[in-house]
Amino acid sequence: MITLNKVTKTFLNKKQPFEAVKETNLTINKGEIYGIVGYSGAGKSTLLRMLNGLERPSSGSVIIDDKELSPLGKRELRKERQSIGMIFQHFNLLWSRTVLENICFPLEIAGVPKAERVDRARELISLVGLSDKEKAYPAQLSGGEKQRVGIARALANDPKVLLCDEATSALDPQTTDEVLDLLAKINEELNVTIVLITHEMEVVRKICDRVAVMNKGNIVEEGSVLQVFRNPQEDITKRFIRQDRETDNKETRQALTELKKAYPDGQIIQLFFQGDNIGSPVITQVSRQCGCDINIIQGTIQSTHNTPVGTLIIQVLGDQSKQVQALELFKTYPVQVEVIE
Amino acid sequence: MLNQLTIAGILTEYTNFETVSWDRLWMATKQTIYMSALSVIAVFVLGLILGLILYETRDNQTIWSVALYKSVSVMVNIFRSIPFIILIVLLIPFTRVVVGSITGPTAGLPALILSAAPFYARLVETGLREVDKGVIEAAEAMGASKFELIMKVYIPESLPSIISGITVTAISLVGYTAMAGVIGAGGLGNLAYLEGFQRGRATVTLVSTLVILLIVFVIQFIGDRWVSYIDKR
Repeated sequence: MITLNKVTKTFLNKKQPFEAVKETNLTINKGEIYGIVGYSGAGKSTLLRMLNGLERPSSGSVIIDDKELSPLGKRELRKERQSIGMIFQHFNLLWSRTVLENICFPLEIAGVPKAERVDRARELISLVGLSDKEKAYPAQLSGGEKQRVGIARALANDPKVLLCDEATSALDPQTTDEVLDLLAKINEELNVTIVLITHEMEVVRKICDRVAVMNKGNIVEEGSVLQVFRNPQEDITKRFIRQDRETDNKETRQALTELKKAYPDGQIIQLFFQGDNIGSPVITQVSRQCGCDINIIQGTIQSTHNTPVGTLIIQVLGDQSKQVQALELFKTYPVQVEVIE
Repeated sequence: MLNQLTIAGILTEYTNFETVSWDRLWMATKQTIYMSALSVIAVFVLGLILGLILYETRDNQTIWSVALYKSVSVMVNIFRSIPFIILIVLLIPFTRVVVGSITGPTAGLPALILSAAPFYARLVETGLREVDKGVIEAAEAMGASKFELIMKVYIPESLPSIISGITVTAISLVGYTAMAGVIGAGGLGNLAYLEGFQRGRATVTLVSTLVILLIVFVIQFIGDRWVSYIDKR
């Protein structure tokens, strides 16, 4: 669907060249939700803007749906942009237009007749759940509602691709979840390929199928979300994932030290569950089979786009041989086992 | 010393209403409104175009844009700096060719327009620069052309500044018509000067002033109402 071939982008800043995006290759498949994560200044924003020609690459080619963007003239590029929707961190709605008129805007540009425009806009308004707000002005809407209008506007011309530029970064956690759910729903129902950039790993974990981690103009790691979360290679990726679990971690560490004091002879084990295995009664089975007590310290379930991922930290009590036996038993189950020292 | 007698004398000088020729006042009022209205319309159109040119060429690096920006910018600064009364005199040969006469309300128009359009163009440019860059980017991402950007984004999104700018400009134009009137363009300024000053009829001056004030207040009122009606921010 989207292919970047040896793409670079260099800006001339006061005659000082600055390489915002270094040679990058990337393939995004049709119908997938693709996340690009990185800190500000990593080049992800520039990369995203090259996908609809708001920025032209300095070298290399951007191919969208078998069509290369670079050789297109201004007029053809504008035409092409009509099939690529985009939403923004700060929504970028026209304050002078109502919700309905804002959604009609891209249709006006595409030359859709008036009656059709209004029908289409109403359809989209109900898709994003704002049916009672069509005559409201953006100033009267909450952040979440504004982003819904932004999404409806971006979908007006039935785009193949939806680009999301930090679409949830200005929203509170609950609204973020609502907007992410809406994006997932759109991806599923309309089969729109979504490319989103963010600095929050949480967003990637919740809705993306695949992810690329960007640092200083390079994609340093890429893969399916599950694989990257389970087995991150680069330090920066680990940092992003850690951030996502930050609050949990602090509490866990505290609980761990306290429990270690209380049961100095116990063995602390971390278990990772994935997908269907979350349902299996591993703990009770092991406990019963080797006759040891198991104390549950902490458990979390994080949902990713397709599969939930669970973590359980437990403490195995009892004498040394039983502890070893328990550990061996855990390894026979389809869970990942890690002993915490 | 100001005693009661002199105060009463001043008051009677201002209230000699029999010296006011109401026909002439009405005539002068119509001329002032004519000059103001026509010049406001012309200034609005011209200023909007100039303002858009200034805005569009400001950050552009091509040689044509830089040249255009510089020349418009220099013209704007020159015309803004020339005192109006001198500009009228300066433009007399030009006015004679364009209008065919150098007296009467229509002859006042070239000077009025040339002095106010650059000023208004600056106000428009400032208003346009306040348009959210993100909104412009969004419109570009939808595939809007330059013309669509101007008609659907730049102008609607900066309309409150455009309207309040033309209100300010219209008010100063009313003031300029009075100056133009003194050297022969007619209108209330002309009436106040000829009848009020040269024939020493303070009442005529006072009444002319009141009518000008009324016109200014009406413009201000309409402008303010209009802006608050369209501003949905």
